[in-house]
Amino acid sequence: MAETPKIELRKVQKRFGPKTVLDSIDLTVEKGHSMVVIGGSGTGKSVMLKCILGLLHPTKGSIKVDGEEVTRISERHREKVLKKFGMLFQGAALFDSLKVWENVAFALIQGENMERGKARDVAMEKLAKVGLSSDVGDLNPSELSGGMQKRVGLARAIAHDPEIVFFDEPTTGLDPIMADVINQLIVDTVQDMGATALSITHDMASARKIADHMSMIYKGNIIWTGTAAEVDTCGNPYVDEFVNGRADGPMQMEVLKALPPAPSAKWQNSPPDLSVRIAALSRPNGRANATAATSGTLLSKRRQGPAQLLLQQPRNSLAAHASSSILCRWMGTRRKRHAISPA
Amino acid sequence: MNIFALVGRAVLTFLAEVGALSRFTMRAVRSCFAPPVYLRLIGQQMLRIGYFSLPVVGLTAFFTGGVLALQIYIGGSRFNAEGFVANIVAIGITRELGPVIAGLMVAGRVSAAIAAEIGTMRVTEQIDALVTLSTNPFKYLVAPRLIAAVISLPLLVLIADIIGIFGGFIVGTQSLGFNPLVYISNTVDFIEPSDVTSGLIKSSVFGFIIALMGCYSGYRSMGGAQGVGRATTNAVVASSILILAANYVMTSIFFTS
Repeated sequence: MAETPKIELRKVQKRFGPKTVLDSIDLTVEKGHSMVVIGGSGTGKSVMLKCILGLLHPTKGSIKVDGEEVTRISERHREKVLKKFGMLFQGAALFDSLKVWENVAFALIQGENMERGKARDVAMEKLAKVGLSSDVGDLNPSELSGGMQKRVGLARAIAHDPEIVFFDEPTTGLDPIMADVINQLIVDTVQDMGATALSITHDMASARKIADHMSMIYKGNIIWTGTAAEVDTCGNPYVDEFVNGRADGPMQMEVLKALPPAPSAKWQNSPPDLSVRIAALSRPNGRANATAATSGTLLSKRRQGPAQLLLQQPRNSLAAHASSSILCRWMGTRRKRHAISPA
Repeated sequence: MNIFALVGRAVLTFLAEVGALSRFTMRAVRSCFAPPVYLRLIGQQMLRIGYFSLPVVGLTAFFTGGVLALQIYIGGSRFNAEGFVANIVAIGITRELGPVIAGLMVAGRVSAAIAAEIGTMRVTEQIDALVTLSTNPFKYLVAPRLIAAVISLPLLVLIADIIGIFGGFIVGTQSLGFNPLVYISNTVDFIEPSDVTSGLIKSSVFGFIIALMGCYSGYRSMGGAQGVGRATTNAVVASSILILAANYVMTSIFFTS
């Protein structure tokens, strides 16, 4: 007998104009479990969280919380659904105009209409749970350090004892000790409250500590889901590359395509002055360097033109691309019309 | 570049902006009437919008009244109208200059401050945090500012009217040699309640515009510090232009029959 999953996303798509951030997300989080979603920067993890909360509306797909559809509901209904949630934001997002205790007691005073004295006591108790003394409660958020702000943010997120807690990159920007403090707090509070947790992070150490289950997002899709123990042995090359923090792998090709071609060590074989000029041309400010480099020297040395010299270099795809574009820039012709043939 | 595409894009962008602003306005006005009403926040905003704008408005009104008196005396000498200084200062300040110039000064101060505050909240995710803490950001942020501005501006303009007429009085009696008692009795005889009330209604509308444009620009700011800076500038420019446009519309409604 399967219990209704706490959060269920089916084929969720989110587009911003022509740009598709989430392509087809399928994710299930069971009650009482802690799910961590990992993925590179800009892959849509925060967008996914905001779609679940209703801060963004998905273009297509269904999101169910406790079996109830939450994508196209009225504002009043959404306010009721949101009472089940608590969220710790990446920058803590504390309200600057209120004191720390007022921040922590915010959900109680606004959402449950608790009177201020009682709410203050509950706030101090929650601050103590995250390891902050009660005099911190009377400070302003701008007077706190990053780690303290995150802890206050956590206290604020759990103050009204929510059933579901979201963590948006909880350890980003913290020193290793404070990051572990936050990880431990997350584990403890989630267990204490029996809450369901969904976190997004790229800190693998944090993910391993707080997760029961993990999922990986890549290019708007969930490409792998499994338990936290399986993440190292799953065999999925994208997951492997991410988890081990390797620069080479299937995902890295995407990053390399975006960079301008770099001079490779193989240029060393060519005449020294020419290689220096070529290296200067292939740097990102190629155009500026090109005029300086080609003005005097190259034109005077007409023994072998630059085209022939370049073409004698070993061919790999980056070098060929680099050589043809440098050549065309120097000669001022369009790439299509310039036929490069071996001498 | 296709000229039709350019013009078309500009028109469509403009219409989209108008549409977005109208939807925002509807939501904002609806949120003013639905409970919960945060009286404490309204009080705080009235202090910031109304009370702290008094020095600016007072000084502006004083100098405006003085200049008006001077110009009417000097300019009016071309057609023997020097004696009308008191009357024209009274009518000019209460009908037009009081509301409009006070409105513009407060727009510069207040809509910039509101846009900066709400814009910063937007880029630091505090508005999203409000939503996750079961609070409607319109009811918590926008409604108190709208209500406070609509109530504070008429009070400010009332004070501006008094100080403006006083400025005219000082210039009239000290530099232009009018008899103080004659000046005051001229002012009182020729001013009518409708002059003052039309000015106060105008200032209510100006207050609404100031708070609305501040909140709208701030709410839609994006892109970090530069976005907040842009939002602040847009708020001041937009509210100033809308104040002047609304002034024309209201003047034509009130004074042409």
